[in-house]
Amino acid sequence: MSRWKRIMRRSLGPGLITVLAEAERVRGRLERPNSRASQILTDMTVEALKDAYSRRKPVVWISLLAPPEIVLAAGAVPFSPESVTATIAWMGLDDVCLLESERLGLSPAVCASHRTTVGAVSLELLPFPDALVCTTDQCSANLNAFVNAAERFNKPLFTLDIPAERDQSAKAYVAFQLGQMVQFMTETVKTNFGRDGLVSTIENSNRARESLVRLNELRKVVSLPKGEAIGLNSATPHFGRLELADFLDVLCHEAANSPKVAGSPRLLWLTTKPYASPLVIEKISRQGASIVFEEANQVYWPELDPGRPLSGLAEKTVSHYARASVEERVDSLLTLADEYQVDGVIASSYPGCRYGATAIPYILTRLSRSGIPALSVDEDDVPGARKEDASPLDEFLETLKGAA
Amino acid sequence: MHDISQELDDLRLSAADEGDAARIGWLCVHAPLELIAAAGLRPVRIRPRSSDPRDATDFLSSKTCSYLRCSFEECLGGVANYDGILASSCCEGERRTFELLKKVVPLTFAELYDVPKVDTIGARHFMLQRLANTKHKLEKAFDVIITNKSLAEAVRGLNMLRSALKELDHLRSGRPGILANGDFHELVLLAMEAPLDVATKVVASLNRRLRKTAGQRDGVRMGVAGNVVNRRGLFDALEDRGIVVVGDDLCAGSRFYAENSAPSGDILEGLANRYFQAAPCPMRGLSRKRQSAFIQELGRRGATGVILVAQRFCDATSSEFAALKIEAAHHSLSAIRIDLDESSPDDVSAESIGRIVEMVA
Repeated sequence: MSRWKRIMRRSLGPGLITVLAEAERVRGRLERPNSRASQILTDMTVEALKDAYSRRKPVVWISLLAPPEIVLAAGAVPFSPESVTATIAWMGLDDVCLLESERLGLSPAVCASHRTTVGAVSLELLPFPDALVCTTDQCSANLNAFVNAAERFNKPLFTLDIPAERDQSAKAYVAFQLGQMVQFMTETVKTNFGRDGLVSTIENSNRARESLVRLNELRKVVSLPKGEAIGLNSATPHFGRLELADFLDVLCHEAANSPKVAGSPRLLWLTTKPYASPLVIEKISRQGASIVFEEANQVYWPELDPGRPLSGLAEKTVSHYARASVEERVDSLLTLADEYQVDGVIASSYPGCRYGATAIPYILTRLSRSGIPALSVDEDDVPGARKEDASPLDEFLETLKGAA
Repeated sequence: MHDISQELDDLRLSAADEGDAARIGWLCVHAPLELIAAAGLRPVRIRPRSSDPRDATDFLSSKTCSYLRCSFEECLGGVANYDGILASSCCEGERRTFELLKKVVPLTFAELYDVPKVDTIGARHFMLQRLANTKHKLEKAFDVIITNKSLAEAVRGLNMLRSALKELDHLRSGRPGILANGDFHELVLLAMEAPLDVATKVVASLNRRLRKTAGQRDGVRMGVAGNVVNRRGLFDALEDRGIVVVGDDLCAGSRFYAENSAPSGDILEGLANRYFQAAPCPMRGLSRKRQSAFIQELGRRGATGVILVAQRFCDATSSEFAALKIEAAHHSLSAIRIDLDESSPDDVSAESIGRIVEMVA
């Protein structure tokens, strides 16, 4: 039995103290970061976790696509169980959570991330929410995991319905619901929800967006250190925080001032990276290859108008890259492949992720036919759920090297 | 057990007859079939007949639910000749399957019907917009005008079929053993494929005969929930082990016929109301209301347990088992989840059947 499982079993109020202690330990371990950007990111993440676990502020669970800007404006802490799953796995608590979800009756075919969330909720490893905001996006496991958590904690759940279409009426429908979400936050979190607060988080969000645009431009010629590139992917729940804008600003500055040339072959990464135990990422690095860009880091939304925050956030939500049609996705990947001069594409198809996996065979064929070699890696984000090895990756990288 | 082989044959023949009306394949019970019928077209449920969706896996991941992969294969192979497809945005898999089908299969009409997953004023307004949009696209694609009168007639037609199926469901549960599990499952599927008038006539005539027939044998009564579609083998296997299915909460079962629409007033509003009044399916989030109503109904029908049959890789259906198990336990019913793959041969489920039998014992 791992040290963490023993501690967890002993700890009162089960995982909360454990997780906080671990967060501090992690920060201690990272006190020697590679860069100031890393330090800002680590501080932001740990402080957000501390806010959530210590309940210094109201805690609102949010799912992918739910706008953290509104939660932050309400003076609450947005907490993303999906993102924290990686942290749980990193602490070695993933297997106990997966076992718990299995005990509750969840099929092993369901997304490992959400199985971990359901297990973690049952084991009380996550901070207790005051309210929850969930979206009906491309992930159907997500909605049920949130309903389950809301029932378990007996807390109100707001469901933001996101249509499949991305036309004007879909945007109007989402904007209308965001107004209801503001009302929901006012009623449930019971903090002062001033319009100024929302303007301020929108401005922070815009600042972060602007820095991300600059960073993405820079990445066409320089390579980010591995740690920063991974951290970048976990930024989504922090949009609206000033610290995120600071992190991206500093990262831009550091990347511009100490440019690193990307290794070869140059790779484009599809869907999210396996943060928790990035064996694949390490393997790529060992082979001298570089991930020069990730699909998830595209800036797909226009600057938000602080004077019309809900319309802007609706536009951002509806235009999320994951909501694009298969054809739009292929077009966008071809553009990225061209802009970032990539030699190949790797798609991380988590077995439980319908968005990540469903149309991948078709997409990869289209990319290959356009002269961009592409590989699907069935790598699960939660190590305890992994079954397949990454051996085709070696072959793929060797082929790309041979072609270079 | 009543022999309904004649009815099944009649329906099979009608379902296979392509007829004159254009055939619009649909994938999910949320599709507004009334609009198709009102346009003088024939709604046909796409049945995942293929057990070897190898061509589909060039397009769709093997981690996509087998209902979608096999349905895709069915359309690719041209076995079922559809003039159009009406899918719904019910899940990510269906949405992507639709996009790819639209790309590779020549179709006169292809529409993704965007269904809201919440019930609010905004959602109802949005749904009305989508219904009007789908109606307009059908009219344009087939150069027809869908009038209020034709819509009202289509609603009445589908209501009659749904009511007939509902009555048949009550007959089979009230008189266990009157119909074989597999026959009922097959009949409901065929009723979704055959022309509306033929299906209604066959089911209504069967009901008239069955009303006069007593249940012939009983066994261990169970309910089945989930999204299994074309798995007669499962129902036959249950029958062989003495299990009588007395109720279901299936996409290829009661979710199709549980609710009717209002045949008068604003018809589109009636269609929207039908969707919102129905107990939400798992794709709209875990619904205690639906589970509770289903389990209570099973209790009234004398069931001792419930089997959740989930398509492998259907997250929404699998995710609701924990809650279903608790709900079942509150009513002293046992519960079991089995994961099925439409593409796997029936004997693969032998282990699952064994687990069910073990639970029943």
